[in-house]
Amino acid sequence: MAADLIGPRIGPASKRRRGRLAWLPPLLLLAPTLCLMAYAFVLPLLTFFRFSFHKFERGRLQEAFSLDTYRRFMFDEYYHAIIFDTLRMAGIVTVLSVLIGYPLAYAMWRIGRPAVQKWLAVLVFSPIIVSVVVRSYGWTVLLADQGPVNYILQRAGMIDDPLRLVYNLTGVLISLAHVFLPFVVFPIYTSMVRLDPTIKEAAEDLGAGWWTVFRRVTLPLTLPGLVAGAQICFTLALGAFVTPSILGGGRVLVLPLHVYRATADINWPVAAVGGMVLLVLSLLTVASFNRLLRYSEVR
Amino acid sequence: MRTRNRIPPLRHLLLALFSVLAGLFIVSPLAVVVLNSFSSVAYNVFPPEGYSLRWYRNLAGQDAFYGAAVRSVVLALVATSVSLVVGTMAAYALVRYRIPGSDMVKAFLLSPIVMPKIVLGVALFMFFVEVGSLNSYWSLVVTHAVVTLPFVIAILSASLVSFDWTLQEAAMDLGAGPLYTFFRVVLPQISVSMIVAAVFSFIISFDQVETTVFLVRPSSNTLPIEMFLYLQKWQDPTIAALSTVLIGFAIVLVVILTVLFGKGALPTRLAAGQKAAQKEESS
Amino acid sequence: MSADVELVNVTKYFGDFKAVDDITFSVDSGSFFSLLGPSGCGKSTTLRMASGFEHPDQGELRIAGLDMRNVSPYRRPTNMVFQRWALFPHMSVFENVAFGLKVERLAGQEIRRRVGELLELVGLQEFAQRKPGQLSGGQMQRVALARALVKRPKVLLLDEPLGALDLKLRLQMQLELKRIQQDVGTTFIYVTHDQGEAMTMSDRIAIMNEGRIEQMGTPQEIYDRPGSRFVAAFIGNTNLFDVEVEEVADGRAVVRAGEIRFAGNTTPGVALAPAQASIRYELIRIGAASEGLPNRFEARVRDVIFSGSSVQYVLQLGNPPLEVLAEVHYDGSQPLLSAGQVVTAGWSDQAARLFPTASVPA
Repeated sequence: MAADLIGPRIGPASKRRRGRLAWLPPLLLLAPTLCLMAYAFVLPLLTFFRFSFHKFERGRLQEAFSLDTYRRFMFDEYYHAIIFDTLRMAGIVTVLSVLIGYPLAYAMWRIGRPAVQKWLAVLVFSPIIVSVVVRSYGWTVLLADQGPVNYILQRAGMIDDPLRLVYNLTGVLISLAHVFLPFVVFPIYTSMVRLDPTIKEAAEDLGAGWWTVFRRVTLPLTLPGLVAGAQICFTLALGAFVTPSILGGGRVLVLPLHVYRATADINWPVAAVGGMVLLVLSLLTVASFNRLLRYSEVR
Repeated sequence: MRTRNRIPPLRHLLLALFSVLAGLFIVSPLAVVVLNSFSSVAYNVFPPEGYSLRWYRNLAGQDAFYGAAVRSVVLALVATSVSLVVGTMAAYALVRYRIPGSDMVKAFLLSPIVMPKIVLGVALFMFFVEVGSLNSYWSLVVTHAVVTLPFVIAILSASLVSFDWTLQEAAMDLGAGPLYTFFRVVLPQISVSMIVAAVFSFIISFDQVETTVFLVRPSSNTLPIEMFLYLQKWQDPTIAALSTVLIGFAIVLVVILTVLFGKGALPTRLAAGQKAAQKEESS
Repeated sequence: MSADVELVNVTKYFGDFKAVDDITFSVDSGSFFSLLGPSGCGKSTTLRMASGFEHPDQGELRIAGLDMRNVSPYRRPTNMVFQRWALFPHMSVFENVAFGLKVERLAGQEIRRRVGELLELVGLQEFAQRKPGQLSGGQMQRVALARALVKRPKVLLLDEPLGALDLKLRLQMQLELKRIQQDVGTTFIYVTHDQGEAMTMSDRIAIMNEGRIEQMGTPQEIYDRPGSRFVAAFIGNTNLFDVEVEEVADGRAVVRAGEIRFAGNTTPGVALAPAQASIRYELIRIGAASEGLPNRFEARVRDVIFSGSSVQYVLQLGNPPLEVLAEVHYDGSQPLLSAGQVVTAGWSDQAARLFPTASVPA
């Protein structure tokens, strides 16, 4: 029995005598967590799963088993567009975050003065403490037609008319890149700190210039960090709800927003299927990035 | 060394410039909120046409925000207490005992991190409707506990893995029973991680929108939801004033924690927690 | 003398691995007993069974006459000094030492008195308020000792407590441990892989190898009359080489290695067959010192290893050359031999010990 194997370093023979109750302490310790997870995670997801097999017709929920709602997601171009937009948004945000995050992590790593390094770290990581609602709101102000960004661009003479930066995809992308930046910087920075400095010195000793060192040594060795950062960014972006709601102005319809609206319209089956699609996309993301991660580590 | 020239190479200057711009990128949405909160007009315009405290006065008159803030703080405190106690027990069990399939158990316990929040929120909503506990306060607590629990488990199991278990043996050898040993020897060693986990848990609970939005009645919203719904309707700088207050609290929190953990230690700690969570997620 | 710790036919498995294999021994009250052996020989496991952190799969374990089978570590009359001391880093020296007494809920005054006594015994009175992080290795070692002894255990268990110290401090602590043991009169069970430590401090030593006890006895007995090839090689420095037994009778045998023929003491199992001879480095005499010895041979010096207080010569005896090492005390009164020199080397009739080649179970 599986339970018999539980216990702190119990050999096979001693199980008979001492191990009879050895599985009890870890089980008791895990019990509250398992109960909580069963009640507020597993059962809700099962309920959710069940509703995905119902359908919603003429303003009423049909409790009978049906694959209709799944079929709609499969064949209706409206849903294809939503799924495509969601993936595209997550993809662009990930590229954007990595493009900002990698050099930033590199700068944090290369700064010689510890004090500057610390303050930069505080600067990069502290925004996590501020609610995502506040940060998204900040971007609506910053990117507004009469906001500071347009003001500066106009004063600099780079544009004549204000750019439409907010209440469309552009604003959502910029704001999401901002929200996820710390999550991207961190794994990259960690992978850089773990680099053995002598490897770089060895490369320099062998006559490599800074670009060669970066391209042939630093970048390949920090690739796992980069992939890990991209993974977390992509996964979070798929599920992003608050920022697209606030900055999308109703024009950016991604899956999480769709699920929210369907739930609010008591169309539970559509909400459930949308959620299942989102869940599958997240799992696929995690799985494929894990594969990428393994590949990047092998090299 | 070649990189220690008197005049830094161009690429270093570019890197420094990039860092400054990135810093600006990070700070500006928060800074502009603070600036906007002192605006004298109701619409967003830059530079502000005038300065006033009218939005703070307006905020002071909004009882809904005040009530929501109190509810959020209480809920975050209750949820954090639950997940801290429960999560510490789980982390201890996972690290200390040889459990069959403990990797699977851990992956399961941490899986809410990867779950899109809106999915969890809707699923909880449907479930609570079905079992008829939608309007119960405990449903809310349980939800926030489940959301914060994985972070507590990740941070504390990382801390317990590096705990020197011979200290526990030493205590027991000196006659201390299991509970006495835990509270006098293990707990003091992981207390810093517990504080970090509590802070993390509080922040995460305080920031819940998707998971909570269907579970609260309009009259008893939490603060981020009240703000979120307010923003759907209005865009006046009242929300900027409120955000400024929240940013102020965040700064106070950073300062307190920095003092508590020594200079500059906080980001590393927070980052360590984040790392633990990320590592689990990618596994 | 009564026995404080008795193990009878104790066996311990880790999975399929037999960590401790049917060992039996008892430790006299008030004595200093060492478990000596290479790493992985089961000595630490044996100690951990005595302390209650591991449980024997078979056999009996009695401490002060009581069966310890279902007694938790925190209820046993033993205390332990851990390998890396395991001091509580968040407590001061005083609090560390007082920990075990606080658990017993003794009165504050009593605790202060007893902790004070122990800190005096280990010479750390001035350091009472320091945290372990502010102490040197030797000081931490003393705190760990005081912390364990303050409980007045029947038996003190020490798990390589000096392993993390540097050599000089280790030698000093050995003497101090022995003094403290004699002062307090507690039974010490000491686990180490360092033969010097065990030799210096112990009343009795058990040599362990692959989970079994190879030999038990006083340090001198073990040194002079190793019971097995393993013990001979493990304790002290010895020349071990293959020989052919030509005559054997009454615990004596005459053996031959190439041209070299000599007599030695046998151990059980030596017959008219290939065997192995062991001669300690310091028992081989060179030049004038070898005069009058029964076994004398012409030897060529192949190498000279000078290490201060002693010199080791690599000697080649006979043809084909049998290489042996001889260690000679050095005081500067005589010039060193040099490589290539031809000398006479010899040893007494009692110097060589013979072991059967096939490894027979001890």
